[in-house]
Amino acid sequence: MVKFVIKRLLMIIPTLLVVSLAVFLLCNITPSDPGRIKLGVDAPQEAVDQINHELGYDRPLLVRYGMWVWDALHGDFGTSYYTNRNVFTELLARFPYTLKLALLGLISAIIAGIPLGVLCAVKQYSIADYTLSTLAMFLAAMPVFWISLLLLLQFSMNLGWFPSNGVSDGWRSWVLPTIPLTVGYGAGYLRYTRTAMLDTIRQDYIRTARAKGCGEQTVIWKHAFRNSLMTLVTITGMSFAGLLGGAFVIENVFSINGLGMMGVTAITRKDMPQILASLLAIGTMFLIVMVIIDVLYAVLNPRIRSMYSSGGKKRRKSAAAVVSVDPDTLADPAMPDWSQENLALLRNGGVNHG
Amino acid sequence: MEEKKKLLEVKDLRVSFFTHAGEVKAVGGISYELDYGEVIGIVGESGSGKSVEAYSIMGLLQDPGKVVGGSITFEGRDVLAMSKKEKKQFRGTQVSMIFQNPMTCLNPVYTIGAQLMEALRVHEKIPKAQAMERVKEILELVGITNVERRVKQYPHELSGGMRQRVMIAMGMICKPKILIADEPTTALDVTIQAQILELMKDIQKKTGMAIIFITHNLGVVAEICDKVAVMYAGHLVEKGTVDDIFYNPSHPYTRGLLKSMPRVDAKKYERLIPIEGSPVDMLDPPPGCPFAPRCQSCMAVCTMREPPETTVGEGHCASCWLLNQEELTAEETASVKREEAAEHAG
Amino acid sequence: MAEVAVKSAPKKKRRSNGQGADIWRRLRQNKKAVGAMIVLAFLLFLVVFANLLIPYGNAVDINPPDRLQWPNAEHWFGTDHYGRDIFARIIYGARVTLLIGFGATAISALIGTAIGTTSAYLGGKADAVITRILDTWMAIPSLLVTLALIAGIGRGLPQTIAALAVGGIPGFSRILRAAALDVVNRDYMEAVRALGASRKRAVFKHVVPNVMSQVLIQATSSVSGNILLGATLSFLGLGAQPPAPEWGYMLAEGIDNYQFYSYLVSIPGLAIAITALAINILGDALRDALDPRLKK
Repeated sequence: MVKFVIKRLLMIIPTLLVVSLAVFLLCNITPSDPGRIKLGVDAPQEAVDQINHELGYDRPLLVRYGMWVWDALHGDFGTSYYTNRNVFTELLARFPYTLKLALLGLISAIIAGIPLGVLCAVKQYSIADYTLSTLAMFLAAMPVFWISLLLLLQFSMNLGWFPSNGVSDGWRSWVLPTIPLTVGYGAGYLRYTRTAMLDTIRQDYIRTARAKGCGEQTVIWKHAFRNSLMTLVTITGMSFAGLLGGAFVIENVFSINGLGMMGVTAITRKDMPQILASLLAIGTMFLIVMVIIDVLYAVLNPRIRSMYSSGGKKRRKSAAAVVSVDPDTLADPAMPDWSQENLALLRNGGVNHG
Repeated sequence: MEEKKKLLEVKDLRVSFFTHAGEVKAVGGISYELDYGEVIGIVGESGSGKSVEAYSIMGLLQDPGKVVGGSITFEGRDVLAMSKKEKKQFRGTQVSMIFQNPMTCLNPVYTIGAQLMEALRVHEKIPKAQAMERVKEILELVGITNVERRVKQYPHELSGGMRQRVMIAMGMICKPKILIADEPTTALDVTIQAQILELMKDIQKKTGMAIIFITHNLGVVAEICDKVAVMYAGHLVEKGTVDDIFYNPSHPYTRGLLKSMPRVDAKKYERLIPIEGSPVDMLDPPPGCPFAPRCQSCMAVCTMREPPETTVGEGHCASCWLLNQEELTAEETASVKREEAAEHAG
Repeated sequence: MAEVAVKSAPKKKRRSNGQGADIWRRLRQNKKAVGAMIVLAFLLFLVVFANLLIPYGNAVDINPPDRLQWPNAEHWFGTDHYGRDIFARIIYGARVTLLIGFGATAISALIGTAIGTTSAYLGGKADAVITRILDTWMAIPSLLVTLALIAGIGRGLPQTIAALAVGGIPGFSRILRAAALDVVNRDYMEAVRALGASRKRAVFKHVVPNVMSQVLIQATSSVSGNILLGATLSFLGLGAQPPAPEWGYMLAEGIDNYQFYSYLVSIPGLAIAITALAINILGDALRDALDPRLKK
């Protein structure tokens, strides 16, 4: 198991290289003129060219990519074209805010969504199920930024209960920014949990548990939920990118100085070192979460676990497999079949991207 | 009137499924008895209601299925009237059940040992170590070797036959008085089937528990059962001892089943004869005898009135108008006579 | 109650009037879906006939005397701080929104289909390479791809559509590749080829109809995802640029005044939410109608 975790962590490196290359190429798909950005429109062309030369902008793209990666490996992400501040320092300062916001959102969404989802599945077709599922559908369609704005307007401006910008006011300043994620992703979790539970509850081993004489609570939590958990872990991984996106938007609404603010401002200004650094930070965060998800999945699923602990003939995984264990490995008929329905749900369910 | 308590008595049990398309009478009034240590085979094709009947004994019927009539009595207690708590205690300790597909019946995320232990500890408050000892004992009883290792394994590491042995062990661990086996061998390879049957026979002898053996395979019935009940479209068409059913089948459906089954003692070129037609549409069953549309000896009365149960011999009954012409009305008798006459003429 | 209608539907005998009619019949029995379709049809009507209802000028021309009016008889949804009619901006904004949603999806569906089927048909090494690239592409969160692309090609409506479309391509090609492989490996394809049908013809005649339902499901969810993401991007100032009336951008503009003029925020937000909801509901219903097996 330890070996598996280390292996997975090491696999981040090549994946991150691929991601960084993709990001670098996409960002530089059209030529940019940092000298002009730094010096302004009135500066003489020679000075502009001088700066572009210093930054390596007169060299081929791939060479520049190499230079950038080399510097990045040494913790040097360059300086902002606008503020001339060290990008890496800024990254380190802002990163915790985004992480905190995303984690708060994730945890509260899980706490709100999963128990309600279980309730809906257990009492399928009841009034509670109907009301909650419908509500979840409505909430999932509301853009995160809209929910944020409404909350800001009502609870901060009109009622004055919570601060409206920044995070200087302790826990109180985190309440409003967390709620849109709780609502949006909690609704998503409710729907996934409901579908996953409905699927597991129909499995034969649930009938076995009942036949043994297990109580209803044991059947639901120990048997059905424990099996649905694997699906939920996978789905958490797949919707994490959306959650990060949501966090970015919220940072912009509530003026929280996180990665999202940094990235959006940088893109608006074409501040390349900042753009690359913030996008790479997102990518890294995402990949680390994927490793956590994979490890959790292996812990939860004895089939996968034995595949790794027995060592040897593990399937080679491409970058995509890092995202989740692919459905092929779930060939056991007793494993939840979530591939079709949940994927579809995932696509148009609670994930509203921002 | 002093009556000895029967182990299990099912009387006129009716189970319906209330679907959006209408009521499906999955079990339409069946009665039978089971004594201590007896093995009864319930035979019928898929959809004949044999599993549904077993689920209602266990109280495992799922929505939209409901028991709509009749009674199930276990040692004098009314099973259908039990409270949730009583029912919970009842399952596993008095009656337990094993299922058709051992591949999907074990929870994939827990070890074999943990699942067996749970079955035990749900009912008996004993320490884990002691429970584990019992688990190992019972696994040895069902013929699993290398028990120390097996209890730590997960279902996916075991073969189908092995899993079914585990299921049997799980069913027996609390020493129930009845074990319901719902097609326990259907999903297995032929050689494994024989092993599992052998095991069940063996265990039945050792423990003396009663078994309700649900199957569509008459061969299996001959192998293991004392009594047989033949079901068709939710009705019990014939019941009796294994000998009654095999040597003196009285219902046309039973005869059809036997003819469609290969036998070792067959004359050289005897053909297998399938039963013509297809099973009844349970949403819209025909009036009268459910088998009438496929029956070669069908009479006019068969399509109008359900035949009553008629005793053919000691403990041997069948529901067929051919056996019971006394209860026919005068008009019906006349029509039967006419048909017979027509047949002779033809 | 809609559940009941859908559940009983597959039980009825299938008439032989084609798959499309069958799906349509099942969809019609789902009340939620009918509601969603009415909303979308209405939206489509507004989009097509916007210029006959209200001149475009009302949506974009600055008109200071009329600024910040609460909804009234003349301005149904009120006016913004430039005095532009919000009702007009919502209607013309629907054009932009639906263009982003459907445009980006159409592009990713087309390119994704082409890549997926080609990959399956080529087989062998080419297929392995393409699959590998697609897998990597999918592993990178589409948010990252979209943001990086916008950083690269700049902000604006066409750019937004392009960036969203690129993020959606691998999803489509994956479905198409899997389905095409499935069909290619079936025996009857050998027969089709033996009859002398060209490969291209075989693809379009046999593979495409076989996956239409899956593509349609993926497309609906992609449309609502694109609408939300597109609105988010413009809200952040990274999407469609002013003065184009875009719902997300309208929200962003409303921020300055929304403490006292809350309709500036509630109306465009409601428009986005209703549209996304209608498409989500339709998507769910479509999934049930196309594949009754999934509805247990």
